[in-house]
Amino acid sequence: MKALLLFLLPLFLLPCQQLRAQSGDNYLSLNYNPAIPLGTTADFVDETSWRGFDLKYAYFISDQLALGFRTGWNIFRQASDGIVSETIINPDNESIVTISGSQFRYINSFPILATADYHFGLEGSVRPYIGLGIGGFAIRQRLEMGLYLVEDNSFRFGLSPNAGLIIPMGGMTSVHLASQYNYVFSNSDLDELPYLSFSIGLGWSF
Amino acid sequence: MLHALPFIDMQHSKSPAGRAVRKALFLLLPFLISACYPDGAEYVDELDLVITVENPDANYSALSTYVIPDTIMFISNNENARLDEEVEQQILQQVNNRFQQNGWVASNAPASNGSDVLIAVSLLENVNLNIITGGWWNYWGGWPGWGYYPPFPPGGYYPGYPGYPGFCCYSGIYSYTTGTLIIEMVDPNEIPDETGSEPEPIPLLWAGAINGLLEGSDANLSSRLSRGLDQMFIDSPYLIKN
Repeated sequence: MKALLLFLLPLFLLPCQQLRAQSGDNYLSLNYNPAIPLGTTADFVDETSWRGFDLKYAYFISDQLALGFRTGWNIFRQASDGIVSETIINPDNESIVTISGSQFRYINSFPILATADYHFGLEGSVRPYIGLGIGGFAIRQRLEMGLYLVEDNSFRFGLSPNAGLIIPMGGMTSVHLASQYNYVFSNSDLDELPYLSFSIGLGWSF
Repeated sequence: MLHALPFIDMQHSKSPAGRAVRKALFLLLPFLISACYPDGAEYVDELDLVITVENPDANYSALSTYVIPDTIMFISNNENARLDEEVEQQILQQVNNRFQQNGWVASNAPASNGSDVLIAVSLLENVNLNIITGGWWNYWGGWPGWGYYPPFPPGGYYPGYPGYPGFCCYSGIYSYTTGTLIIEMVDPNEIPDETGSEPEPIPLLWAGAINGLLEGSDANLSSRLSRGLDQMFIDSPYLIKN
């Protein structure tokens, strides 16, 4: 932990002129991104994801409005509590097959979104913002049972309304806090995947 | 603190050092993430799978006596593999004990009195050989053994044979052995007379299988077999008579 903090320390010291966010500026943030599964996501994996990060870039086309993109990676994982059993009916002869074993379930979500954010407040001050991300989510969903696994890979359309806060630290650096509601739409084979994520990290204006 | 880091140029708004720090962090990020990826199974017994098959037309309550042959049908993709006789008898003893503990009665004179069911035990072993290649094509690995219900008398099923690796560039070889213990319950009165050249399959009253890695000590394997047999009866409450 100490090593990680020391590694991150230089990022707090990046120079040099007062944080500004006005037309023509760029803003980049890198965040730790835990997530909470909701709805059908929680039906498959019902544990909070503590493994995730996101990267956000925005270009201010005016003093308030910034366009850019957001990407990242969230990993949901759940191990069964002991043995679980699944029962299926063999359609050929209607025999009843019961399969028991330890299960490991994963959802990997890679959002690739175009974003538009509207910022409130004045340059140099704490700036809340609201925005919307539109794009696709690359989803890898796995179920491991015994020596076998069932895996579904898909790239699906999704939306991500979000709200956040940029807190200047002096110089180019700021603390970035945000929350996103991510909704991955269903396709013919897979259910929708909603989840809530939180961004906690640093940003730089340049 | 600031003076301790002279390599950070504090005079310019877009210092090369600042860009370098950001670039380093982004390049290192995948390695940090990969180190954080959650693990799957940590112990061999977490990879064990128990499968049971119930015949919806079977009247299990009318069945109570059984007979088990004194040998296990052993099938392996390793031509030199043999099932140790002591291990074979231990497995049969465990299966025997489980059925008796759950209220079944071993037929004392099957040849003359017959029995309600015949219980056949098979063991499939599959040696998986994997070549780790350094070339641009992926290594080829065998597939795990899977239960298959051979016709009676035993006909046998041979799992696939591993293919050949790529022409060059392999950096290592590893192998692991998977096994499947199959227990099949059939009605001996339903065994058809073999008049044709091909044996006819016999209707299955019930089947159970335990699939997993055939690795570890004999004591560990015995313990896992015992838990697997317990799970079979947990999943098949209709077989429990007491």
